[in-house]
Amino acid sequence: MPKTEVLIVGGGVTGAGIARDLALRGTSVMLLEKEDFSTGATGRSHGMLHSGGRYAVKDPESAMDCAREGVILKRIASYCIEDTGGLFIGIEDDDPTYVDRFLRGCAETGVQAKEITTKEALSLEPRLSSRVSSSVEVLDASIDPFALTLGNVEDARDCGAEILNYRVVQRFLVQEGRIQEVIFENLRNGSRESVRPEVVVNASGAWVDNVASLAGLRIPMSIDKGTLVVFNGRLVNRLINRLRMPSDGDIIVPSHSASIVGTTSDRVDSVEDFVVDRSDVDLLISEGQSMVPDLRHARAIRAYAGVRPLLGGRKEGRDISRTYRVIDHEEEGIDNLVSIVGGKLTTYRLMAEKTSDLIMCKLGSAGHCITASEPISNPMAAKTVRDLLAFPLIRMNRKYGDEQTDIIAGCTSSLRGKEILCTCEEVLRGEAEYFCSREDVMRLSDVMRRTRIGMGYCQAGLCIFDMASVMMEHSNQEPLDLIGHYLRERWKGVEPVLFGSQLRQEVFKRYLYDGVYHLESLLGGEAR
Amino acid sequence: MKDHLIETSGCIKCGACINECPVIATEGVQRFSGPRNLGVDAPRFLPDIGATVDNIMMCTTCWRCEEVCPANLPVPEAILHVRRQIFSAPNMLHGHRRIAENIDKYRRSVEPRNTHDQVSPRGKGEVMYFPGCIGKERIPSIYESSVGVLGKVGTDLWIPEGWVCCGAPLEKIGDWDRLRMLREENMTRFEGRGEIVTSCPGCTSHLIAHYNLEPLHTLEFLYEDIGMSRLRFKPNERTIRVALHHPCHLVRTIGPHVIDYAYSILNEIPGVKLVEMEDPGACCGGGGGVVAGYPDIALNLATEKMRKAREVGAELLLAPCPFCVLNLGRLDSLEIMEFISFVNERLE
Repeated sequence: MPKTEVLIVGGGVTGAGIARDLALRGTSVMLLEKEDFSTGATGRSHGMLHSGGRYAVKDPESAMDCAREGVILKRIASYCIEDTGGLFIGIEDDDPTYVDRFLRGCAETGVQAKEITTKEALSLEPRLSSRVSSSVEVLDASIDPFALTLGNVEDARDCGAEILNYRVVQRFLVQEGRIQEVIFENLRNGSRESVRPEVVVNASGAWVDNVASLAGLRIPMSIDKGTLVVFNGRLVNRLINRLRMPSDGDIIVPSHSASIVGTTSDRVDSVEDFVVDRSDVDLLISEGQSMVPDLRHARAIRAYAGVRPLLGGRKEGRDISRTYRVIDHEEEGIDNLVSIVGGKLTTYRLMAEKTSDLIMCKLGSAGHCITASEPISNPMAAKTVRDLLAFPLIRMNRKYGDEQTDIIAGCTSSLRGKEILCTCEEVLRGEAEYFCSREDVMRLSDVMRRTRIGMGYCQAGLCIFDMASVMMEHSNQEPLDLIGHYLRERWKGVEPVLFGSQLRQEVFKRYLYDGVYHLESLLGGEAR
Repeated sequence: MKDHLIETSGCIKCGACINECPVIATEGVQRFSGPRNLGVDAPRFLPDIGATVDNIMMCTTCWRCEEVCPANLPVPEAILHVRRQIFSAPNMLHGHRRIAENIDKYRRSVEPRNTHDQVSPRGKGEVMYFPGCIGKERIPSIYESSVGVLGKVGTDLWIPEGWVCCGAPLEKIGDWDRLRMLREENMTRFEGRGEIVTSCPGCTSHLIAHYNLEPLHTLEFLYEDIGMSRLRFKPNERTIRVALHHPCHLVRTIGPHVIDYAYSILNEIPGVKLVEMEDPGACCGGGGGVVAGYPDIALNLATEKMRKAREVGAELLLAPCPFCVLNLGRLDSLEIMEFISFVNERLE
């Protein structure tokens, strides 16, 4: 039976970060993820690298962590960060005393913040409301959570770690107060496999309680749902935060071709509750409009919801600290299980470091954390560029790093690699070919997370068939299953924003899918 | 100013603009990424739009994409807006730099020829005639014929002294500093303008959109203000087979009515046998700064146009636009003439 020093359960950014951290320290690591990487809270986050300002007043510990980690991540993961900077803006009618408390909080927590005039704010961001009454500049940035996670995954692999997705942990074999064996299912072929770890790390985010229960333990969690709405185009070029006590619809993040407005905060019972309520969408649009009035005319592309894995307790939603906790389950009778709970995307590296420190302790090994200084390498290595239009090329540089990559080389050498497959997001067929041929890509949404195919305003309206045809060159799955699975996921996000242009888009797609391709009857009504 | 991001956000990816784009048809999407990419999709990635520089100047601004768009999105204007946003003097295409240099030196988009104005600039005319750079300096017969025709029908003209290029070519290459300068210079010279008549659809649409004036293209002036009854044509025994090109900016930015006026006039000219070529509204390649920026693309489109005219047996191709005449005239496979010049030749 295979052995590993550390088995990590969960392939979000925290699990991937721990895998990289430990692998860089020379530890043998295996990671199991039940779906694709970053499909939980990571991929459903706002894609925001916090300056710390948001927590400066209410949650100073998180603010300090964010301020420090923000600087580190800009240094080690620049390939997936757009250093846009951010603004906190107060609107007339907002509490006028908050700005002073905010600036004091920032000063006390080491969050860099500089008050600027309304005129300066409007010249930086012309779409801001004319009702802006106070503005503070901070160091927020836009970060791609998918690329960040994949960078950690690939780096860990380069150091010998075994990082596997589509592996569902089913059972812990516990004997003598230790997890002796972990049994998991391989979703690719349905086989059952097992591994003997020395230490198990539960980094399963919102699912930590479920995983802990496999060892007979409980971790009280507060499952908090946050909803976000994606708008077409970059309405702002910095992150815009509302200068008030954290509330709903406070933040607009420019990301690639879109502006993402979020979030809400609602306690929910199930970690699988990703359903978006139309009332949340309305709330976000109306709150967003008070900062950027043009949102009224902008095109809402889709909405999505994620669950924040917050530490449980008596407090609710926004009152719960965004800090994290590393739990050693030794006291509860399982010697070799460690759980990491809570935290934020911005602090994932710190969480990974603290978790890894404890694990090293448990393993009795030496080895220091170097992730604060060691840059994450671009997920791919360098090759040459030829014959490509500059625009897809710059998009690839944004997505995969400044260096010219294997992917680009694939685009120029493959027969049809230079064709634009997804026009919204400017993704070339060669990019899809590259990722479809990789071991850890099984579904169309896996290709999407790696390339942004299908994330644009038509929501894969046209590229879905090309995507499936590229996938079929490397897969023996039923193409209609691939398409149906993907379209169902897209539909969940589009349904809550079916008005204006997005409604016309869906009506057009329906004619196309049903009238031209007869997809509806083929999929049994699932394509809507 | 229009909010281009919001205005173009209604795209549903039907592909009509791409299927109808004349530059994609001749050059392919590997070379020219097309109206949807440049006007709708790329601007969403605002910090990256500079990367469109390698093909955005290939658009002839023929306005066909907007015409066929089921959502009626202002795609050409959005493309022009991107050109404005990414304009950088050091990176201008060679041909575009020459336009800018000509503006700086001569206040014309092309090098001037020393032809004399036939009309006294200080005349007390009621109608102001704006000659335009191409008609005045490159194909002077257009200027002479326009003044001739307007004189024959009894119009009292004046030409503003020291008029400068209207700025339309600068809008096409994204150079708004020079554009504003020219507009200010012209506006002081247009004092006491009265009605304005121009020979060039480019000038006409530019004066409408950027000067907030209401100029008439010569065809509009002849048909609407003078009237068909006052046009007396020479009798002519020899019959000539004539095809009419529909210039993009004439029919799609001024209005489709103008080409109907051209047909009405042609129908009255003795000896003219109209032959209708396939897709007479297809772009000739003359617009959008493409002749200066990418002469090979302009020539490819012109070749197509001439082929279609010859196919229906035309002996003469008429175009009511100096730019089209300039571009099509680079080929000598068929006689090409500016519309008003032909009218002048046939008018009593």
